[in-house]
Amino acid sequence: MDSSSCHASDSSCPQPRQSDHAAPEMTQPTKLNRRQPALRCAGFLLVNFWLIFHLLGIVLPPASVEPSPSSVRSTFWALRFYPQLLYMDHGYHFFSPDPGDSTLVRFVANSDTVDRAVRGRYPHKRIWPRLLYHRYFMLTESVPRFAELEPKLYELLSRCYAKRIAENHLCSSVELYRVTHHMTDANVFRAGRGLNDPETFDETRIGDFAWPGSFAASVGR
Amino acid sequence: MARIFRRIGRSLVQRVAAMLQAWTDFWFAPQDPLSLCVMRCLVGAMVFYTHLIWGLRFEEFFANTNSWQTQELVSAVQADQFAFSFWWITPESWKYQVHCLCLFVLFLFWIGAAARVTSWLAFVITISYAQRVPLATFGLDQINGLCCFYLAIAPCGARLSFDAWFVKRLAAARGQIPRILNSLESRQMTSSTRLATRLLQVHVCVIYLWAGLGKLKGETWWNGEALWLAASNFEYQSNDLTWIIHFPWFYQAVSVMTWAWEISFSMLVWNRALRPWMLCVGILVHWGIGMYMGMWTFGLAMAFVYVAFIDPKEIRRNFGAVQIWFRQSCKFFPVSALHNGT
Repeated sequence: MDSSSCHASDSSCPQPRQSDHAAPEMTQPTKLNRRQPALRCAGFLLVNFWLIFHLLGIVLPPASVEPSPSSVRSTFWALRFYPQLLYMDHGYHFFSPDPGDSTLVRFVANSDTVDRAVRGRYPHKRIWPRLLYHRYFMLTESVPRFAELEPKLYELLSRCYAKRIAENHLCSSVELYRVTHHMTDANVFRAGRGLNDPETFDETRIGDFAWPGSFAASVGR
Repeated sequence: MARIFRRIGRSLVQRVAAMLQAWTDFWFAPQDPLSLCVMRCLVGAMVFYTHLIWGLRFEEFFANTNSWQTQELVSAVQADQFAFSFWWITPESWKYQVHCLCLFVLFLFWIGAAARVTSWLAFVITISYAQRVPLATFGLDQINGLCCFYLAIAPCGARLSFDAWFVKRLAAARGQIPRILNSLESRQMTSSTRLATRLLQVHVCVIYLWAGLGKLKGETWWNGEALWLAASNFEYQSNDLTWIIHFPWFYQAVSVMTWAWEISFSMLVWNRALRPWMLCVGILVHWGIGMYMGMWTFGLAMAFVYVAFIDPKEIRRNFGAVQIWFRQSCKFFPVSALHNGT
């Protein structure tokens, strides 16, 4: 978009002021300007409408994170196509309301052919580079969100994770566990308990998965 | 009586006109794109690195049927969303080739080659990757996405770029340097640069404002324990920060100052005198996130956005030494990349 989007002599459109560095060419109306001031003004207005809509699009997603007014949430729902298309539909609630516990996924993978179980956990600190470690960490951090809010998606998610782990370790069956690593209170830490003390871990069985096999029959056993 | 009404009416019209003029100046006054060009160099490197890392475990994350997030899972997660990703229409057998092509396009964006096209492509690539693997993304991908979008609006390849170098080489070959440089100068002062810069600035303010307001909903940000809890999170920890346990006053003060700074950023950063201080505190915060929580990429990405708050004139003034270094150490780099026409 050029600064000459409105005709210089057209008083109905506000004119951007030329800054100190503005070149002489900028102030000279082009032939197109002289011929089509109305069209240029309409373009300028359209850009302004888009601008207001865009500002609404970036403010509504974080403003609609609960607790929030239902009117804000419904407005976001109606206009969500725009921030979602641009990948700007984020809440930006980093480490809030409080820094929380971490979630990890522990697995035991078994093979039909080799009499040996592979045990492991995602993420683990050997994953390098660090950005890749965070990708795995975000995967496991999604687990509690789905477990609490979306049981059907949780089943699907668990099956996908188990299948991937089986492929990584060339195994035919996988046991999955959700591991919650609780925060260590400052007073407890002062008393001598380490950040990785076994008491800070809490484990829940997600399910057993086998290929070919039935997920529904084994989940939550 | 009629005269009073006329006077009030005239005053109102003048005020509305002044407001419209202020609005137009704020969003559209022509601006030098140097800041955004510097930002393109930094963000381009980060976006390129981000996507390079995806390639290390490409199959694990992007295969349709046997990845961590299969097509079935992501479709279910995004059932009522308008999420776009070209990975859904890319044949499985072509995926790795498309990934390599994306890396090439991102590299072109980074060096500012055909920047008008590659900046939009970089935006589409960034959001397509992020929307394909929504459960493995975090703040870094959000910042990459918005930076690419706003950089695509502006002529971010006007300086410090392959494009600028190529145009000048062409002009030099034809003996037209002064004319070309003057023409470049005039074309580079655009309203789109101002618009993109303002949108970036406003977006950063929105991010910090809600990051701060979100923290007010929690108890630990009020009682000052939040920093300790974040520091003691073993999974995030990349360097040991548990020594702060010996200085409760320190971590409690920093906890409270974090949300106070985040909320006040959106107001105080507009003050020219306070802006450098707000940005310095921000750099410290993000350095801490990188240093102790291992999120260097996110911390750097946030710091890169701060370039949008720096006046191009300041960049010219303060980076003279960098220019001299470029001249001495990198002979192919355009001498007049920072000081156009000089």
